[in-house]
Amino acid sequence: MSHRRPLEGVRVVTVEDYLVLPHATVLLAGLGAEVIRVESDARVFSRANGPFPEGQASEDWWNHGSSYHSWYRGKQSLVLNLATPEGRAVFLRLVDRCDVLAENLRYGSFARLGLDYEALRARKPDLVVLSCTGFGHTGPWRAYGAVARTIDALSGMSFVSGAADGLPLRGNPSYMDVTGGLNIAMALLAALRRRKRTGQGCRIDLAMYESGAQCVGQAIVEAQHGLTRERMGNAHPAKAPHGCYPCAGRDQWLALSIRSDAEWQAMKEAMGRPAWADDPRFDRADGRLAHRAELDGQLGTWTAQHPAAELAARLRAAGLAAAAVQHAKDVVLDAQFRGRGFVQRIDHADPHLGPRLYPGLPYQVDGQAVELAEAPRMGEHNDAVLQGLLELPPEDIADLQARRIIASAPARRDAVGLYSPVAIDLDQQVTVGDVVEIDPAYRERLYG
Amino acid sequence: MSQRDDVAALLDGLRVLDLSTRSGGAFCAKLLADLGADVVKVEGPARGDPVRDEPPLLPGLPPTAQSSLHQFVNANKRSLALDLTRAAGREVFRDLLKTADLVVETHRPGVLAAHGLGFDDLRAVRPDVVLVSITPYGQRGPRAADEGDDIVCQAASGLLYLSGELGGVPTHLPLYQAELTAGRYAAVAALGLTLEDERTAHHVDVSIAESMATVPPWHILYYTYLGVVIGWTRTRSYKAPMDGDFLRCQDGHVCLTTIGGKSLEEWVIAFDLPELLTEGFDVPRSRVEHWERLQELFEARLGDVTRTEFFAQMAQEGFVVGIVQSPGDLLACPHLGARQAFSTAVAEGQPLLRLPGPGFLLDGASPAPTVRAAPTLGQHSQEILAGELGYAPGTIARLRDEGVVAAAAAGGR
Repeated sequence: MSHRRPLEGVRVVTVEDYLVLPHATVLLAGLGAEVIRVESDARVFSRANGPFPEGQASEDWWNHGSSYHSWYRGKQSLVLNLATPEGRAVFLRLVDRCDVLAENLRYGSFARLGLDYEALRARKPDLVVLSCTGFGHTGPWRAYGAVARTIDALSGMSFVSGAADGLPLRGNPSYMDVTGGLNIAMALLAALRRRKRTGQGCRIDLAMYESGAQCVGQAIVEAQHGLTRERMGNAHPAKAPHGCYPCAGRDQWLALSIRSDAEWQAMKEAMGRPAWADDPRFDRADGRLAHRAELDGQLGTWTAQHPAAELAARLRAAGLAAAAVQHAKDVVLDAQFRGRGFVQRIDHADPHLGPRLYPGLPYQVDGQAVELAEAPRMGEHNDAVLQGLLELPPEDIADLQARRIIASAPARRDAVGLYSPVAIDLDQQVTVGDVVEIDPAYRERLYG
Repeated sequence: MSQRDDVAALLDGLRVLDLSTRSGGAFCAKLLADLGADVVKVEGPARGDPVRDEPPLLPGLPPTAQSSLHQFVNANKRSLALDLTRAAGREVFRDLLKTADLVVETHRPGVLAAHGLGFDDLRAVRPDVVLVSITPYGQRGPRAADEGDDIVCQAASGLLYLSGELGGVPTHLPLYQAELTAGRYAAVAALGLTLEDERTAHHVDVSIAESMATVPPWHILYYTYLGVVIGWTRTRSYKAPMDGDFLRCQDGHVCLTTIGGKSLEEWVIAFDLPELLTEGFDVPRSRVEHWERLQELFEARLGDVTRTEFFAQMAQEGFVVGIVQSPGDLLACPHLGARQAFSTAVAEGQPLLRLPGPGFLLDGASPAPTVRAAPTLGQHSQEILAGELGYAPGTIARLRDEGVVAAAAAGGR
């Protein structure tokens, strides 16, 4: 963005891991905020979670994980041990110079570190303090752990997802991280707006569970009128055809939504008026809904004769809402996403990374995509923050370093539990059907 | 009316004009309304926002406000029924625009400009307006003009390919999740731009398909980091099986996850399942390959346990678990109740309706305990034209007679 970005001058300190809060602070960084991530050298989940370049974890893998590089763009890294009094003293000095403090540690962890929201606010009354947990900091479930997957189940999202005759479906393992992250960003921006007008700080206690409930708001309305929203696969209560239809080739699909009788007529024309489609029962929406199974069956037989991309282009040209069900390679190479600058290239100076493409932000301002800077190396901003911002004398910084209160590498370079930075075993993934395609020419295709 | 009276609402003084005809735009404006913005829904006098026609329609509510989707995404707004296709209607709109910070719209690219209400037209009237446009693919690019419904945007985004049962049809996230996600992004971007020190006009261009493409970034990163296209066997996790998979219990389904700090030994003890160790499930690969056996082992222990018993017991012991709840179950959830997570939507002559709130507590209390129920078509035309724009009764009568404005009778019918 060429203009001065709206949050320039706003400083955010964030103690964050996983995805939900990192997603929110990436958005703030995109709006121009200075985001300083205070991270631990012991809990390095976000850095250990790959995939790594070419599927190989390097010697200094903590600077090379792709999910880290995606979700931590535009931020600074200060590695600070908050479990020590000296670390906390530095942290408090930093908070004094920030507008926003955000954290998504488990309930109680912040207090166990001797950090108290009310004390922080008493110290700095205009501070905006946010905590994000699964269930928030009040209520009977406050101490329970959660991840996006369990929130999906609890919130009702899984209940309404999946086939009519099948199990509930957790449609996406991270959707609740994104919804929660967006609500965090909104809450912080709204709080900053009020602070700008009144000078008033506040405490925001965000629960991912409640963002999940927002996703099924329509069904919550219906439940109060005696209606239970049943699972219906890809069907829609008022639109038919509506769904994913098989196309020529393995695991190829067309997504289609016909929203009116006029669109059905256009669909018939685009298909070349096959005899089955001229059935008058299908002329009106109520008939298409009543005979949905038959309609879907006939349509699926027809679509199966055509390649998905070609069919989608034909139907879109006829003014219909249709798209091929795209996988990652399709998305990265998609002319629309590329052309708009949604897929962004970062030329990393680190030769182990080289040039890489990332999903960007889904909005533009005044015709410009939002640029996000490369994610920081571990501890990259230790000096800039301690010396530049907090004006600590160099000998104090050296002392903190010597006592490992600040650091620039993980305390342990090997095991980090489930997400140990092991190389990906591609053969194994092919066995269980996870890998659809290995593109040996991907580097030339993307970066050549 | 959405605030407590002791503190200013977060977005006090922010005025939003909602021209949306898709649920994503309506939801964007609703989110802002719940944080205290004054949102005026400007909609056509004949039918209004098409969201009003979206089934299911709920009997017992006023004729133009029966859609459950409308009740959700248009809550906490006022309705001005105004014909923007006519010059006299646009004249009224320009008067209203002078008072507005944000305009949210979802028309196909170019449609507003064709009606003399494009970004340049708006900024000529209100030099610091932020126009938010939400469309399937964005305002420019080869597919900018193409149609796209929610499932279609999910397909284009790459998310749909990864969602569904093992080996089955890709299955969408229902209830307009792509629209809702785009609406949240739109609200974040727009709100951010109103924080400029010296405000100037901006056009925010949100792509619904791109919004969903941000959701599971790993599939994109597997390709851009190692050239691997991942199917993730749809929803089943490749590196942590049982990770959120649903298991049958006495009255529904529970979900376990191996993320969150409990060792396999602790699972062995909690479930009395030595097989987890003796059959080699301590190796992740073994859990991937033999997930059906794992499911069998766990379900044998869950047959006489209810969801709530399971959740209370396991969560208290520190396991990260979930249970499958229906949207209706949430209304009875003691936790959500204790946190005042639902706003109460109020309208004269209608039963109270509970709606999910903004998702957080502000200084320990709900930011939106009470909200307006979604308006009937033109419910607030009179108060806006007479009360806020100061139009004379004769002028309003003429606008009504000409069909430029529709105003519902008092009482909302």
